Amino acid sequence: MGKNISVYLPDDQINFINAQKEGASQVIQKAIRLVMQAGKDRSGYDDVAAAAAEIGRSGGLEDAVRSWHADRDADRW
Amino acid sequence: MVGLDTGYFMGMMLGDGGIIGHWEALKEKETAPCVSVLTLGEILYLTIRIGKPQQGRKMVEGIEKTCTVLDVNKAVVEKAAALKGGHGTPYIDSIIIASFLENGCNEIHTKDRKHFGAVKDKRAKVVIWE
Repeated sequence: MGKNISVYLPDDQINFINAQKEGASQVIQKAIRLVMQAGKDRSGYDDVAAAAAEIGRSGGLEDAVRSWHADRDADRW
Repeated sequence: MVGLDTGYFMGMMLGDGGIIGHWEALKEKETAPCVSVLTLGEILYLTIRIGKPQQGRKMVEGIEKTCTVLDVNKAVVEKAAALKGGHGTPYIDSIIIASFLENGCNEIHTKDRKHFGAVKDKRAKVVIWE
């Protein structure tokens, strides 16, 4: 998937891209990936999994989830 | 980008092995998944209801660390209104779906076939965990 698009870049960024060993697409993709990951902490994945497992051990979870589904379905607006 | 609906996290709490494995695999991806801010509220509400508010908060903090949290804005509510008007999708679902579409998610993970199954957007594939 994906497609070619045309974008404007100032001279300093074009000079930077031209100075890289990789092609322009690779450099831009890498830069965008870094922006998308900025501030993200991968340890959070383990925190979420651990908390979910702990919550899963609670009594009444299945009933609460069923009720949450019913609330969404009932959407009164 | 991957969008994760509230049901995805409910499935994780209920021990759905497929979802837990998928979540582990997301760790290796280069792009952070997207989660609607409404989902954070739903997790907090559910865990308050079952008497586990601290664990709910811990889960939400972990999501904030790893995922891009999508706020609701005018473009999102405009799209959500169209989804509700066109398909009768409940408003919360509409807002969550619209948040994903407006932010360029091309894969949406949910357990809700009834409402998310109606998403007819060529740019986004809906993955239903059942």
